[in-house]
Amino acid sequence: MSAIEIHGLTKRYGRTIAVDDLSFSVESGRVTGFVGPNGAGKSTTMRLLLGLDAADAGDAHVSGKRYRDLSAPLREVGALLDAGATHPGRRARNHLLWLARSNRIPAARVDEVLDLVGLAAVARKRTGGFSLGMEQRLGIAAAMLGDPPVLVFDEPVNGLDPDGIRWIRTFLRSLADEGRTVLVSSHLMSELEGVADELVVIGRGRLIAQASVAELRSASSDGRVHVRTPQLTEVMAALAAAGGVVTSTGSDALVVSGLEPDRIAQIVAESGLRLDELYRERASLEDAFIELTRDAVEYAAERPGVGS
Amino acid sequence: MSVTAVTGVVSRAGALQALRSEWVKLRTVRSTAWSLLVFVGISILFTSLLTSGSSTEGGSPGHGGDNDIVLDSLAGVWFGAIAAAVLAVLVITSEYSTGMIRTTLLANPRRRTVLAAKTVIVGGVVLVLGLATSAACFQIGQWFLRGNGFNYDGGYPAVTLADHEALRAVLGTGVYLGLLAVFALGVGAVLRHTAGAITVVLAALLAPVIALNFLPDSIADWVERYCLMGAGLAIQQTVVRDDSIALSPERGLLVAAVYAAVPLLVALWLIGRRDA
Repeated sequence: MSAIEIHGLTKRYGRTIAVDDLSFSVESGRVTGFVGPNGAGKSTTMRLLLGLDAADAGDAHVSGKRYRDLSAPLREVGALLDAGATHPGRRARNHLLWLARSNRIPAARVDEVLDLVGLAAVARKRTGGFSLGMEQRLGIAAAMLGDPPVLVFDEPVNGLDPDGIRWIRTFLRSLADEGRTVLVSSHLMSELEGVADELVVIGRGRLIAQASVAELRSASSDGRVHVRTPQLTEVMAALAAAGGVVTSTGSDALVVSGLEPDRIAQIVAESGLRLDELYRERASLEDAFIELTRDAVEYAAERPGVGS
Repeated sequence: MSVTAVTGVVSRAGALQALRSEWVKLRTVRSTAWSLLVFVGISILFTSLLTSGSSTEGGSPGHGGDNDIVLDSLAGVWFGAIAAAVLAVLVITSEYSTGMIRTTLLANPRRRTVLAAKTVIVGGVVLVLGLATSAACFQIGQWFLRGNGFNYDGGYPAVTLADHEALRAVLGTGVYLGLLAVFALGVGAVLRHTAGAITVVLAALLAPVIALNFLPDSIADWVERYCLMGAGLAIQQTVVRDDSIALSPERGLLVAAVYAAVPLLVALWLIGRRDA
């Protein structure tokens, strides 16, 4: 059983279909990125998963149960949907305190999560004066209150400064490393680069792809290797003779496919030639994704560049 | 840093937790204290103004007047009550305007329990404070009235809370305030919009009173008898005149209870069906 399981989930608002027969699952111990452009249905899916909106069809389970059947939800699922959704006149600590009371979580835990997110110093400040970054941290503190095994974050880095983004990325990573299930949405594929282990990509409420980041990369990477050398002609000839497909990209640069970097280094050395630089091209997650879904999705033709 | 054991405690987000949670919410925003302060202050202020400015024609011990000095002393509450009603609206609509309602429902997905807990806390706080305010208005009002000739010599024997009818009026006024808060919260929970809900609550309180001047007598009497304020405040009567059209005190409070129940029941029905 996966930590989060979604089957045939469908939600209509009037005539628009926000989520359309969506199915996917999320495993524990990993960060799963939930990606799609604005309006793709990410937030709606999360609201359906968390029992805030009612699905027209299909079901969503967390730890094998519907959200509304969880007896103490904050101890099972931590969620950050809209970090700004606090009463501006209430102090940060009191915001966490009413949440704690609702699930019989000891008040001492409130101070712990404030420490955890680095808000202990402003615990007694009213949230109306909080910056976006502080609101996000408070939202994460609220999600962590019940020490839940499953965490759901909707666009947690949206609008944050680079420090805040780095902090959240590190934090998400550490949660997964502790064995928790982390589902994090983003409309920017690049935001999840280096954090997500797994990607669920949706567009117009439908599943476009679910794949591990490693799979995505290996599927897209055609193994191109960049080489820089002062002896361009000789190196090109030597590599071509060894079976590489070689293209010159400048007076001292070339790109090789069909040969691994270690093999290239060996051939160049054996030919008595010189290498200044040698590196394998790494496709960005976004490039990898676009490549994977290029032909598969009618959607891509209408709205190019999912995640841009 | 020690880590508090969060798991392992057998627990459930149940009704008791919802009550405790709503209590924390209510006492940790400034608007609560302000509205309640205005509620008590306005009630006492208006009672003082009305009773200190009133005078008696001058009766005698043998020939008593027919002024309802209990009702007169509690009249300030009619004005203060508006602040209590606004507080009750805000308690629910502010959750919708800030989006906090979603956090509330994440913490406890049993929505009717949450709304019921909110109602108990707000209704309970207004009831308790309403009883105290009502008693204070009564004492202050009687003191002013005694000084203005409403005394034994003027044909008005002293009234105290030991008198059955005075006690009924004072307690009933507190109950009316609690019911008014429940009514306002119910309207807020149905409309989920601060301005809209406050408009409806104020209209329910004041529109009938204003309309009385324009309506034909037969309809006006009926409106005065059954409108929220008219029915609820029938409990303050201790003198029944020949031309009195009000409901009996008990029946009036019962009508006010129906006013309180209807929007709340609609809200309890709706909250499980609407997307948050």
